[in-house]
Amino acid sequence: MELLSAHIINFGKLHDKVFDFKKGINSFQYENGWGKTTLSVFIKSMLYGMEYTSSKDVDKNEKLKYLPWQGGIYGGSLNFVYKDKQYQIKRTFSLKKNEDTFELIDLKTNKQSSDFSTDLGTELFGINRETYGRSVHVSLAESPAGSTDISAKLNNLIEAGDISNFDDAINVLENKATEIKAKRGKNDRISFLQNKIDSDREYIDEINAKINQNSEYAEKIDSINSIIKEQNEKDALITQELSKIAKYENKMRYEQLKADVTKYETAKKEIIDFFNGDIPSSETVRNIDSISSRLTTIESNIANQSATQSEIDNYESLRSYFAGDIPTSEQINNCLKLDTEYKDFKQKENSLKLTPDEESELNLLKDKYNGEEITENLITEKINEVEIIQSKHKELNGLQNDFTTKNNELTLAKAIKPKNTKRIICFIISLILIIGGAVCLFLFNRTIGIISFSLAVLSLALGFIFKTSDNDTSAIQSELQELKDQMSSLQNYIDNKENEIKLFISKYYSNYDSEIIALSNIKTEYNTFVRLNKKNDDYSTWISQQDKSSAEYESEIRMFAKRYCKTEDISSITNEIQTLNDKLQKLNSLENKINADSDNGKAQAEEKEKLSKILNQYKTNKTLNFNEQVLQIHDKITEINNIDKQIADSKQAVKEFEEDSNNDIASFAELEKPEKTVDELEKERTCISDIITENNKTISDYQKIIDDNLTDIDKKEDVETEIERLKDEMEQAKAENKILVRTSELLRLAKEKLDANYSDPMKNGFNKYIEMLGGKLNLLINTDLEVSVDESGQTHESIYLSDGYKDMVNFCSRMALVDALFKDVKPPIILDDPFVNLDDDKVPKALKLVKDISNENQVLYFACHQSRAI
Amino acid sequence: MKIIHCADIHADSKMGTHYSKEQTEERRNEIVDSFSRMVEYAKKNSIRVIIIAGDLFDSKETQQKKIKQRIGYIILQNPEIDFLYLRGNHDEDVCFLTDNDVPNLKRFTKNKWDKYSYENIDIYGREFGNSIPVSTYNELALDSTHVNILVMHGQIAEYRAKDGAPVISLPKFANKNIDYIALGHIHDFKKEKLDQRCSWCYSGCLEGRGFDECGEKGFVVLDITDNKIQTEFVSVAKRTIHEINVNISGLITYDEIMKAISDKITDCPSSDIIEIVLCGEISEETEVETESYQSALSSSYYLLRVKDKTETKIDYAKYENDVSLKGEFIRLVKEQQDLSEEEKSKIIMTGIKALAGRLN
Repeated sequence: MELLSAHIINFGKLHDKVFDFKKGINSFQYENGWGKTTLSVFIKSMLYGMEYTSSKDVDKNEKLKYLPWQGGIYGGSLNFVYKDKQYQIKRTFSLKKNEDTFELIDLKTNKQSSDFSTDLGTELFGINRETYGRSVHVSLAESPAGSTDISAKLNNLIEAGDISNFDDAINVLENKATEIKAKRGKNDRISFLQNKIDSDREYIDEINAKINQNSEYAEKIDSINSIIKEQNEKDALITQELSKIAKYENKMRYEQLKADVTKYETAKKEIIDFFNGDIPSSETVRNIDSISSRLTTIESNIANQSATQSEIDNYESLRSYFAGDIPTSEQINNCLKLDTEYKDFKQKENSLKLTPDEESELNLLKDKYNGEEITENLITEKINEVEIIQSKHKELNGLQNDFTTKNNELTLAKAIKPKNTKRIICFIISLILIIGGAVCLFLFNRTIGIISFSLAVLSLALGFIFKTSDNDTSAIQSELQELKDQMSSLQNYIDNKENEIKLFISKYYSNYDSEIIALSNIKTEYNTFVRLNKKNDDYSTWISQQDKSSAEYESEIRMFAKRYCKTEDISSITNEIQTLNDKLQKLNSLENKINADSDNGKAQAEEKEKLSKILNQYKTNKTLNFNEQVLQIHDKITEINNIDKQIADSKQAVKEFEEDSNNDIASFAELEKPEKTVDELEKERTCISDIITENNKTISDYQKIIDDNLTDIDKKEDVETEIERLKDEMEQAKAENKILVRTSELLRLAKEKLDANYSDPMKNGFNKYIEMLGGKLNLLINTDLEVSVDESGQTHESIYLSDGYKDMVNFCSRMALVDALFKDVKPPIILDDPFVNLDDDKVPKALKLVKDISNENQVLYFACHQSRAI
Repeated sequence: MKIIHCADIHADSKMGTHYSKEQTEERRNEIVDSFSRMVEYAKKNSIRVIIIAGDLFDSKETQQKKIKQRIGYIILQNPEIDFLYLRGNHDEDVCFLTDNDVPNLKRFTKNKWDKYSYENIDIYGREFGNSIPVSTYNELALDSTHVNILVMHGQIAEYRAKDGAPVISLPKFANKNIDYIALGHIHDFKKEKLDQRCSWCYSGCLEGRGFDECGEKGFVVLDITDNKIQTEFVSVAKRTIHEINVNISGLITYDEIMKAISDKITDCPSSDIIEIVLCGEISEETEVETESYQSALSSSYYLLRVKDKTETKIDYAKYENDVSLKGEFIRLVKEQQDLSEEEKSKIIMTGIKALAGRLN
C-alpha cells in the first residue's frame, strides 16, 4: 500500500494543505513546530478514523487535540493505492458522537467503493489504530532525549506500556488470589470465613442442644405439672373431706347443743331433788357457812394447836429446870444492862491502861529521866550545837587552807627576786652601740665608730649601777598572822563546845560513834518516857472516877448466871440470857397450848350438832365430811343459780344454729363420722403442700434454665442469617478467586504468545538493522527486549549508551517492529527527525539505511536540519 | 373519634444478611421504638383505638421475650388506648399477654367476626388461616347508620400469593355498608376506593427491614367525624430504606462514577439505609470499584452498600488487531470455551484493572 496524496482541509494547525507522495522515500525539510506530527496523525485518522471519547483531557481526546485552530470543516482526504487500485478516503470529524463522515471512492470510477469499511486501516494492515500509532510513526518524542530506558521503550512498542505493569499485575493477581485462598496453610479469607461458619455452626449446635434441653425441660415441667395437678386434686379431696368433717362437726355441735339443753334441764331437776324441793335461802346458806366456818376453825385449832406429846414432855422438862424460880423480865434486862456496862468498862480500861511492855519500858526510862533537868528543847539545842561545831570545823579547815596558801605565797615571794628593767635596757643600748661602732669604724667613719664605742661603755656602766631591790612581804605576813588568830579562836570555841556536848551525852548514853545519833536517841527516849508517864497518869485518874470496879461487875453478873443460867461462865452472858429467854417463852406457850385443847373439844361437838341437823335436810353425801357437804350445797346453789341461764342459753344456741342458713340440718341425718381426723388430713395436706412446693421449685429451676437458654435460642435466627451471609461471602470469594487465578493464567499466556509472535522477530530484525547501521558497539538484545552493550567481553546496560546510540537503537527497534507487525501489507513509515542526536559520522550510514528501507516501504522522512536531510 | 391503623410491625423479626449482628439487634429495638413513637403520637392526638392488622410478631411467645415484653409494657402503660390486635400469618399461633389481665388489649378470633364498638363506630375483625371461607363474606350484617371498619390480614387478589397468607377477595366486600377495610400483610402504604362508601388500605409497616421495603413507612390515622372518615398517612420510621439505581453507561473514570453516585444520594439523610445499584452498560475501560465506593460512602450513612449490576460490553472487534498485551489477553479470553460471557467479562475487567494498577 502506498500513499499518493493528502489534502488537509482543516486539521490541527494545518489548513488547506496538499501533499503529494511518491514511491520510496519522500523527504521533507521543515522547521520544528511546522506540523509533522499533525500530518502523521492526519494520515492515521484518514486510515483509521478518530476515536470518540467524552473525555475533556486533550491527551486522551485526539479529536479535541486536533480540532482545527481556525474552525471550518474538520477533516480532509487521502489518496492511496492498494493492489494497483487507487482509492480516495474522505473523512470529516466532529466532537459529537456518530457525526463523523467517511467516504471511500474508487478513483478509477470516481464512485464510492465498498472495498473497505470505515475501519480501513485495520482491514489493510491487520493491526488497530493504537498499534499502528506505536509502530509506523517514529517521532522526536520517541527519541532518547524523551526516554529514560530503551528496554522499556522497546517493550512498550509492542505492549503499549502494559509490560512494565505485567509483573506487578501478576503479583497483585496472585497475591489477591492467595489472600482469598492460600496455596498452603489456612491463613486466607476462605479459611477465615469457613472458620466463622464452623464456629457459628457449633453455636447453632449448642443452641439446638439448648432447644432440645428446653423441650426436655418443658416436658419435665409438664410432667411435674401433672404431678402438681394430681396433688392439687388430692388436696381438693382433702378439702372435701375437711368440709365433710366440718359438717360432721357441725352436726355434732348441733347435737351437743341439744344435749346441753337436755343436760341442763336434767341437772335442774336433780338439783331440786337434791334439796328435796326446798332450795335453801341465802340466809340459810349463810347460817350453814357460819357454822361450818366455826367448826372448821375449831377443828383447825384442834389439829394445829393441840400440844403434842413431845411438847408436853418439853413443858415438864422446863418446869423442872426452873423449879419455880423463874426470873422476871426486869431481872433479865438488868443483867443485860450490867453486862453491857461491864463490857464498856473493860474496853475503856484496855485503851487507857499501859500494856505490860509499856509498863516495863516506863520503869526503865524512869530510872534514867525521872527527876532530871532535861527537856526536849534542851536536847534539840544540843543537836543544833553539834551542827554548828561541824560548820566551825569546816570554817577552820578553810582558814587553814588560806593560811597554807598565804604561807606558800610568802615563801615564793621571798624566793623570787624582781626583774631589774633599767639594767637590761642599758645593756641592750650598749650592745647596739658596739655593733654600730664596729661598722662605722671599719666601713664608714672612724670618728663615729669611736664615739659609738664610748657611748656603749657608758651605757654598760650605767647598767651595773642600777641594782635589783628585794620584794615587799609585809602584807602577806600580816595576813598570815590574822589567819592564825582566827584559827586559834575558832579552835577554842570548837573544843569548848565539844566538851559540853560530850558531857551532856554521857549522862544518858554511852558507847556512841556520833554525837548527832546519840542526841537523837536521847530525844526519842525522853519523848517516850513523857508519853508513857502521861498515859499512866491518865489511867489512874480514870479508874478513880469509876462507880464500880471490874470485879464488882463480874461478881454481879456471875451471880445471876449461876442462879438462872446454871453457869458461872460470864464470858458469853448475852447468849446465856438469850437462851434463858427462849426457854421462858417456850414454857409459856406450851402452857397456853395445853390449856386451849380442852376448850376446843367442847366447841367442836356443839358446832357439829348444829350443822348435822341442817345438812340432814338435804341429800348431801353423808360419807363426806361436813365441809365437803357444805361445799356440795354451795355447788348445788351455784348450779341452780346458773342453770336457768344455761338452759336459756343452750336453747338460744340451738335456735341460732337452726336459723343459720349455713347449717344444713336436713343433711345431718346422712352425715357419717369421717374415717380420718382433721389432724390426719392436715398432715396429708402438709405432705401434699411440700410435694407441690418441691415440684414448683423444680419447675422454677427448670424454667430458669429454659429462660437462660432462650437468650441464646433467640439468637439462632440471627446466627443462621449470619451463616448465610458468610456462605454468600465465601461463594463470592471463591468466585473471585477463580476469576483472579484464571486472569493470572490467561495474562501469562497472553504474554507468552505476544513474546512468541513479536519479541523474537523483533529481536532478529533489530540485530539486522543494527548490523546495517554499523557502529563500533556490539549491541545485544534478549528475548525480553532488554538492550545491552558487549564491550571487551563485558556486558553493560543500555542506560550507559550515548544519545546517539540510543537514537540508533530506537530507530532499529522501530524498523524491527514494523517488520514484525506488518508481514503482508507494509504501511508508509513516518520518520520524524529520527537521527537528531546521531553522531555526524554515523549519519550517512543512517541515511543510507533509510534509503534501503524505502526500497521496500514508502517512507515519509522529515528533518529539521540540512545535515540530516535526504 | 380518631383511630390508628397499623400493621406488620414484625417486632421480633430476623433481619436480612446485610445487617451486622449489632445492627440486627439495633434495628429490632428501633422497630419497637417506632411502635412506641406511634403510641406517643396516639396519646398526644387523643387517639382512642389502635388497630394492629396482623403480624405484630414474627416468632413464638417464648422467643425474643424482651422485645415482646417491651411491646407489652407499652400497651400496659397506655390503658386509655384500646389496642385491637388481630394476628396475621406470622404471629398466628403467638399467645401474647394471654396470662395477664390487660383490659385495653382486645383480640380477634378465628371462628367468627368479633366486634368492638365505640359510640357509633363498629370495628369488626377476624383471623384466618391460609384461606378465607367463601361464606365469610356474607356473614356480616352491618348497621348502615354506623361507621363500619373491617380489620383483616391477607393479600388482595392483585398481589401474588406468598407466605401462607389468605387471599382476600375485596370485591365481595363491596356495597356492604363498610366504610374502611384496615388491611395488613403488604408492607407498603396503599389506599384505594372499593365502592362509593368504602376504601381499603394497607398501612404498610412501621420500619423497613430489607431492601424490598423501601420508602416511607408509618401508620394511618383515621379521623372520624359525622360518620365520615378522613385518612392521613403518618411517617414514623427512624430510617428509610432506599434502593437507588445509578446508570453509569458512558462513564469511564472512578471520579465520574463516584460523582454520579454522590449526586443521587445527596438528599438521603445519614440515618438512612441505602443500596446503590450500579446499572447500565460499561466497557472494559470503565473504572468500576464497587468496594471503594462503598468504603468511601458507608461511613456517612447507617448502612450503605453498592451492588454492581452493570453489563460489561466488550468490543472484542476493537482488539482483533491490537498488538499489545491487553489485546492479546482479551483475544485469549474470548477464545476460552469453558467460560461464560459473564466470566469472560469479569476476567477481562480484572486483567485490565491489574495491568492498569487499579487492582490494589
